[in-house]
Amino acid sequence: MEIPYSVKPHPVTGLANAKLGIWTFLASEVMLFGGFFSAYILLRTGDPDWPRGLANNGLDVKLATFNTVLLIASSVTVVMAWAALKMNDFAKCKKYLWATVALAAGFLVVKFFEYKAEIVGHGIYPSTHNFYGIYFTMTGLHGLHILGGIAVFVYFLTFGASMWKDEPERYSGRIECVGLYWHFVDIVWIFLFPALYLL
Amino acid sequence: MADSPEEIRKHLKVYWLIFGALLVMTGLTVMAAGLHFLTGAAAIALGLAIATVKGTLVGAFFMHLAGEKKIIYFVLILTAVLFVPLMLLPILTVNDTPYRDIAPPTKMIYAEGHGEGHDSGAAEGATHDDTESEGEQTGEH
Amino acid sequence: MSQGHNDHHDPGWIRKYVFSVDHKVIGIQYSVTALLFLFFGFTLIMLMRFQLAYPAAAWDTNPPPGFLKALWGGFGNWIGRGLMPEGVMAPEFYNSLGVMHGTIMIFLGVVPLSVGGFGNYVMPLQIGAPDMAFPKINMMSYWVYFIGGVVMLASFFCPGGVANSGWTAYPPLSVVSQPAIEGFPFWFTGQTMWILGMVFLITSSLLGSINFIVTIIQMRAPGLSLFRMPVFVWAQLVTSFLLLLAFPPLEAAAVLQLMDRVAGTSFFLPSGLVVSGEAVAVSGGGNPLLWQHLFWFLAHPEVYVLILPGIGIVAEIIACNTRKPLWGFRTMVYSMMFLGFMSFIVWAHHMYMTGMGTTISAFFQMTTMIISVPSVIILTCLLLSLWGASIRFNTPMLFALSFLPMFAIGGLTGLPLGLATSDIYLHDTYYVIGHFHYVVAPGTIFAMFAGIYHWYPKATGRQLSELFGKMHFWGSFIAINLTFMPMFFAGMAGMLRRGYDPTYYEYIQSVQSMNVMSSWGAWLLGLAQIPFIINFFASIFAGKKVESDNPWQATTLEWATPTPPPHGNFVTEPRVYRDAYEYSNPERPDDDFWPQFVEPEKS
Repeated sequence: MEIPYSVKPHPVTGLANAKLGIWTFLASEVMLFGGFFSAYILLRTGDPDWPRGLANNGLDVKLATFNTVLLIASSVTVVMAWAALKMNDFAKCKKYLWATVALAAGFLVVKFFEYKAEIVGHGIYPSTHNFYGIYFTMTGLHGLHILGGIAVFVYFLTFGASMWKDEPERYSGRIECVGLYWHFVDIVWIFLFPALYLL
Repeated sequence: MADSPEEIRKHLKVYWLIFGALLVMTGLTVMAAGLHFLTGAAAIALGLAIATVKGTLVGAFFMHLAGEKKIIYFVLILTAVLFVPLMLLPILTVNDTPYRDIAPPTKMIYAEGHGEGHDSGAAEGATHDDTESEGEQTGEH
Repeated sequence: MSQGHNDHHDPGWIRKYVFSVDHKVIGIQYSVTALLFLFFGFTLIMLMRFQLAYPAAAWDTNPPPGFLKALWGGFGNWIGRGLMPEGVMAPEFYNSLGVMHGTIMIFLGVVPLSVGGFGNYVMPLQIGAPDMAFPKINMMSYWVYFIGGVVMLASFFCPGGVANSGWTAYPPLSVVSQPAIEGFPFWFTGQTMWILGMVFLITSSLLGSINFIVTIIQMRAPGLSLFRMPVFVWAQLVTSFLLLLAFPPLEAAAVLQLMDRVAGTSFFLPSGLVVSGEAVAVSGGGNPLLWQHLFWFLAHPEVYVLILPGIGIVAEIIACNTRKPLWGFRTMVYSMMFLGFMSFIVWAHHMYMTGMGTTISAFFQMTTMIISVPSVIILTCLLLSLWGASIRFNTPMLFALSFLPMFAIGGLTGLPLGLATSDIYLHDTYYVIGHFHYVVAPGTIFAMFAGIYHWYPKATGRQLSELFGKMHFWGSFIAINLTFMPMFFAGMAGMLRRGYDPTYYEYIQSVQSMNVMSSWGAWLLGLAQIPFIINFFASIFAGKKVESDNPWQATTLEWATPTPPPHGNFVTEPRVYRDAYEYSNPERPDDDFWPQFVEPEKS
């Protein structure tokens, strides 16, 4: 039994199943982070002593800026990997994907040292203040998203790579979907960065 | 996407351009926050505006939203429309204060007339605590 | 994500019936699990109803009948001294039962049954698809739901007791109650397990809703344009969008509450919080209202998640058994869409009691009044569909017909709750309980029963017994009204909704008879389910075999499949030629139904 339109786009909607699926998933993710941002706004406006950004709250803006650059760069490498696949250059695609994984891992490593400096260095815990609570919760959840993305990238680079030989179209569809997810994770960070570190 | 390799090649240049723009804006937003030439609401507005532009660039070009299929637009517009009440209504509710400012006597009657101890209600306890803390906060502003 | 290859070899028993990717097996797994949970949740309420009817403190004046007392004593011995000291239900235990009843009925019972069960089984058949768009994700969503259920039930065995902070888990109570007990991992408390269970259930619903949306949009049979889709499919589509967009904020809220409980944050704890005379040692600055907002952002759309699939099922059955096209089909569809959309901006009508300002409360009252309009339109369409029909009064139709007045009572009694003035009096009384139980129990659950009787022949190849079915219907119909109608009177007299002992308050002692009536109704309702349980299991082996693939002579696509449908559903690729409810079409004088899948005769 064949599921229709799992590779070929549907003639009316112009989409394969997975792409519509990933977009609906991202829509739910928007609402998930929306819930957190809504909480952030409510808590922040209700608290006159809310720690402000730029070192006032003890977070490391330099490292975070560096991390922002890493994530933006990883977004570029993902879209490059997708473009390479479209041009039938699997070797180049692999290179870009590994670069993405490296950048993402770099992000997590920097984040780890950031957490360490905050918890061990400054003695800041989620329970210290709601700002740090929401900081650890949101960046933690964002970090989990990054971890998930890395896992999927590594899967398609190793065990899942044979799909390119058997069904190249399905493979590039998959990479496009992971890519969309990855860009979304990037966008979330683009909003988290000013909300937590700068403002 | 049924783009031919030639068209994709043209896109590559755009991607690098967007990359540059994103980096510039990241620098800009850090600098703007660091210079303190704007404070309070204006600084927040600027920071969020830059983030929105960055997000839009990523969405429009990296995620190819600039030329997507109708059904995806439908899903995303629906999400965006429902995102607005999620952001706004809680904060509007908490800040809708006229009633709260004249509330204290009413609240005291409520607190006294409320059977404590035997009533196992979770909701009453929560809302009651909350009404008071809200009143205090609005008083401080 | 999806299986691409045509494998004809036998996948083995486990892959076929346990870890199956076939939407029909998953649908049946969902249904059976959800029915078990419904039964369990119902058992909990039968226990609570004893406490409400015959609180031990008032046994002198209001003694239970002897046999009931003996039963109760036996139960007390069995469950142990901790929960029932001296054979009297402990207040904490009573609270826990309330929490678990609400949670289990809604999140583990009705939603999985109506969306996971019926949606999974019927929807792909009705749109002529071979399976769901992502069969493996479908399987995953069932198993995530299953794990969520297990985690939720694990709450019963936690040291410190089952979650007992209300099914809405309002903070600060839900955060400060049941602190971690020494010697156990700090995760291991009833309320924490409850939150973890919720996270699993939410994830399962999200996975399911993505699958439903993609399947309905992408995989309809050729010719099945959107407005040829049956109402049930429309209901599932709107429901899926509600689940997709409303559940994530609750997931966020659940994570925040989890952080409050295990990481010591105070998202929901205000500064200066005092519990039992002692200041709580947290940094404070949080806002308990935040939880209520995020919770009701989900939980109001959830109301329509509960009711829309029910409406869909009822519409199918009414059209089939009146042998007429549905009256106002398009109007119903547009109403459902509008209902779905509006349900996102009415949530704070659950929060009038929080000291909400007048401006914002006016806004929510207005949206609440607006949202009642499409509900009434849908109900009117269903009622008018009955006009002038020669109705077949079989069991599914009886359930579907009783849905209409029951849902109407539930809906109309909701109006006073949507207006702040009357709500402030009625909120947190039994009136609210009566109201939403009329919507969910004789409303949705009756629709689910109707659906079971209607589609059982398709799923098993055998009919459920009509005699047992009618016993089940009349018993349930009478008992359920006996249960919920008195609640309105008790509530209007001021009986508190979460109160443990109604006889404690003098002012409501006069309506104690209402509680007794309600409890007997609940127990009778339990007895009335016995014919159903017998019928459901015995008919698998002993039911009358159906003679054709289309025993009800219905028009929708699910009846074009062999009975029961094989893996892959359709023998030949289905095509759709006409609208969903072409009954008694004047162009076809010999036959009173004209299935969607029958090719038009060439003239």
